[in-house]
Amino acid sequence: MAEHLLDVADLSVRFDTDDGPVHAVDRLSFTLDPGEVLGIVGESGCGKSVSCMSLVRLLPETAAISGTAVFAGRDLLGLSQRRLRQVRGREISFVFQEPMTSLNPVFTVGRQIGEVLERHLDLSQRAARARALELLRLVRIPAPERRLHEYPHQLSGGMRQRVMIAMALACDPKVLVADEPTTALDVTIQAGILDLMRDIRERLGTAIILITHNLGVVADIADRVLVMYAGRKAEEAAADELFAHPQHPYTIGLLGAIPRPTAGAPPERLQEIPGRVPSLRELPVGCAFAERCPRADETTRTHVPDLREVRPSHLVACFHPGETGAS
Amino acid sequence: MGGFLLRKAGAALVVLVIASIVVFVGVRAIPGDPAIALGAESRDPALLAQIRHKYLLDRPLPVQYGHWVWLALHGDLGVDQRELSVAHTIVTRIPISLEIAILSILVAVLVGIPAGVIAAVRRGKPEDYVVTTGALIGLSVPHFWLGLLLIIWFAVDLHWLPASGYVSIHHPIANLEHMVMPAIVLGTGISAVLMRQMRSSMLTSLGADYVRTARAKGLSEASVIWRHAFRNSLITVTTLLGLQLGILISGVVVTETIFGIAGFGALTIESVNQRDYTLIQGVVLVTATAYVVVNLLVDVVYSLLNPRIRVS
Amino acid sequence: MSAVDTAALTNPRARRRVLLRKRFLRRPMAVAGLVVVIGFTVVAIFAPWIAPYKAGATDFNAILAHPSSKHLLGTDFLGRDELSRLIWGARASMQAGFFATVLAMVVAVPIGLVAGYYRGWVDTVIARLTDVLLAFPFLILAVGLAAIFGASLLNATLALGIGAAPILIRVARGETFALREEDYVPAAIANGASDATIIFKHILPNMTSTLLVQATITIPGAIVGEAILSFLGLGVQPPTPSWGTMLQDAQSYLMQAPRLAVFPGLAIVLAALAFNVLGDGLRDIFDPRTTR
Repeated sequence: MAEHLLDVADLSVRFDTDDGPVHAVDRLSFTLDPGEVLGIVGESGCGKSVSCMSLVRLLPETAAISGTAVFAGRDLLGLSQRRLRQVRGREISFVFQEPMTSLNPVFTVGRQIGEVLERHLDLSQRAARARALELLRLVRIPAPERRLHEYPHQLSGGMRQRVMIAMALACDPKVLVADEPTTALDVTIQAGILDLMRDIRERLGTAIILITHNLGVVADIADRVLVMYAGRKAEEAAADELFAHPQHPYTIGLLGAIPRPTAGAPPERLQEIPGRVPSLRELPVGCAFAERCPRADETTRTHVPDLREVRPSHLVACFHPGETGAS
Repeated sequence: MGGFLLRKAGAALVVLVIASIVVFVGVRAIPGDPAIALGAESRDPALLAQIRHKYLLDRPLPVQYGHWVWLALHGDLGVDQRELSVAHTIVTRIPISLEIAILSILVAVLVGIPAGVIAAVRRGKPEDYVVTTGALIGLSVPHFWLGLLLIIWFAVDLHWLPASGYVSIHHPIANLEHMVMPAIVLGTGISAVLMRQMRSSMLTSLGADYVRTARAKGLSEASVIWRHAFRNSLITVTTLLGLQLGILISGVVVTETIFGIAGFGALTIESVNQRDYTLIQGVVLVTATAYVVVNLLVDVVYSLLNPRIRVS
Repeated sequence: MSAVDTAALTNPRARRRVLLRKRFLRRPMAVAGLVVVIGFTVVAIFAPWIAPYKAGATDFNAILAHPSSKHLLGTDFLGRDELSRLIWGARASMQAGFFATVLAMVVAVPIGLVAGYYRGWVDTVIARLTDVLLAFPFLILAVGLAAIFGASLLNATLALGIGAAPILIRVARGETFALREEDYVPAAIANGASDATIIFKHILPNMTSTLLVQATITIPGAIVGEAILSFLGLGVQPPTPSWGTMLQDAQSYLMQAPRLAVFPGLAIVLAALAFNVLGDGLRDIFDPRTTR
């Protein structure tokens, strides 16, 4: 069997705060194959961003990370800072949510892209600039020659995000982690960015981890989907499979919350999931979702469900998985 | 950028005009005959008549003001008690004060800025406490007192440095010997403020999203701190440096007084003590002008450093 | 009828006060600052009763005397008791500190409120002028005042107050800007409240914590400023004691009695430090982002 590009096992991230430890991620495991698009879905605070950032230690020093993350033969979590810096930007790149604040306001677009190239590929300034231009074309920014010399504040939100993507792809990384890349953008621009990402996967074969709270975004472009809740994996399956046969009540709830206008039919009420995400400081004893779950019972309140393969290649952490849903 | 600077220049001009009016009115508000005040208390009728003629004291105030401004713009600030040209006196004394000011800023920047950066990068660690406490003490210690203490130690006790006086820059070593303590005294006071502001600004920058991006790009920590965070903080600190101007001016005056340096600052105090109104007028006017002009220069530098203003 | 639960009855304002007090007590530096500030204030107010000698009491038999049981900190060049003069001097400094700040507030807060509330061209004018005047050296103001009206503590205080106003205008304006956007403002307007009511009942009370912090930071500046002015002869005039004039005297006797330069300066440092530390502490406890 071919080796996975990224193999994360039992990843846990704990923050030591003044008010006690916060378990942001609890024994998360997942894999990523070359060229695959993995969608990680969940509400804010479920640990999806933290887990990916912990892979290259982009977290503050108060974070305690344990587990293993094998990437191209080595365990990322055991690497020294120096070697980690060689991985960041070169083999694993990030695109963040807020393009306005994620770009340095005092440097031109060309310089910021060029910086990565000079650092990792040792290109001269001129060569870096030429490559930056290519990259801007790759991400389909209009008038790329002019953009090279412009500052972030002169570009629109969508264009800035494309610049971020160009910067992330500069060294042809194996993995691109996109953390809520479209959340801060208009809906119309969102589609363009997602198209771009699909294009990138086709043309460059980059594996993509797409982190989002929006299932609609994921449906479009992901091969596999991983649903997280309160720092743990709730469900994982191929995208089609997940949407067609969701098993975990949380996933079902999320899907029910997607507005699905059908022409001619009277509008239905959006199904909300009652209750709120538990505080990560005081996780409940049993299943983290029990409080809001229509299928909760004694077992779920006292035991944490393990991941089980309920259908082929379809994992769920639930005592009462099944499609027929709520109440 | 043009619009930004134009607006700033406009405000500066307004302040300058207001300041000149205040100075003008101030001298004429002194109880008694303005001619006597401007004539250094002399009662000689011929002299008084000459003064009245020169300053158009018999005409309505706005005319007087206009004429006075006209004279000033032509470099004629009148004649002081000792019948020396005020403009000339000022011009000879300014370079001395300028030297103190520049050396002090140098000290302040060389000490304050790196200290602030280090304190921010090593937040919560010992280096941070040292810098923060140092800054707090520096803020609370009146620098003229520090000057006196330094004189006691280095001049009186140890005889390493001269206690007072000034030697022209043509003798560079002696000149520096006389400048060391004044520059340190004034410089450390300003550096305390700079340290705090730099630290605060760096903490903001280091927490910014673009720093996270820089780290995600795999850049070295030094690059992240200096190229990305510091470069942004520099912009904020430049504006703040401009705010130190007032402290600098006051500081130069006090420092010259303590160290017996006959510069422009000392001139300010002398003029008040001698009630030499023509001199006071000239000194205050020049100071206000210098303050406004330098403020404007700081704005220019700021607009050059900040791309959002430079290119919009 | 169940017994009334006093804890539940505590209104939010009282609860907040208790919380702030607890946060303050967790900061030993700030508490120390407060203690010292109160100490200086007490000394300044009760100087006539605390000082061992009258301020002007000379003793020509004990000129520049070393510290002894009769004169705990020695005497100056006229045989005046140093300790007493320090105590009397606290009056000038504290007065300058407090009154200059009060003056600055009285001038700055209304201007800032108007600028921040009405915006438009009024705000633009005020903002631009304030920007240029932010750092205007109070020394030049003092020079001017001294020239016209003569040097005195009053004039020095005036100069210091006016000098401190621009920064306070900016703070008040900034706060008004922010508070004006709060939801209760349009609600009050909808209820027919006049501008004055909104400003004085809603906006001003919510600024008090910020203004308090600013005041604690302005006072030490004024204290040091008064010392500078008196030192230069632009403030308190001798023989009235002020820490600044004492330093001026000490300057002439640097060789014979260097200790005369040390004590007044230490007093200034202590007072300024205490206010600064207190101000820092207050700023911390009012800031919702600090956790303790």
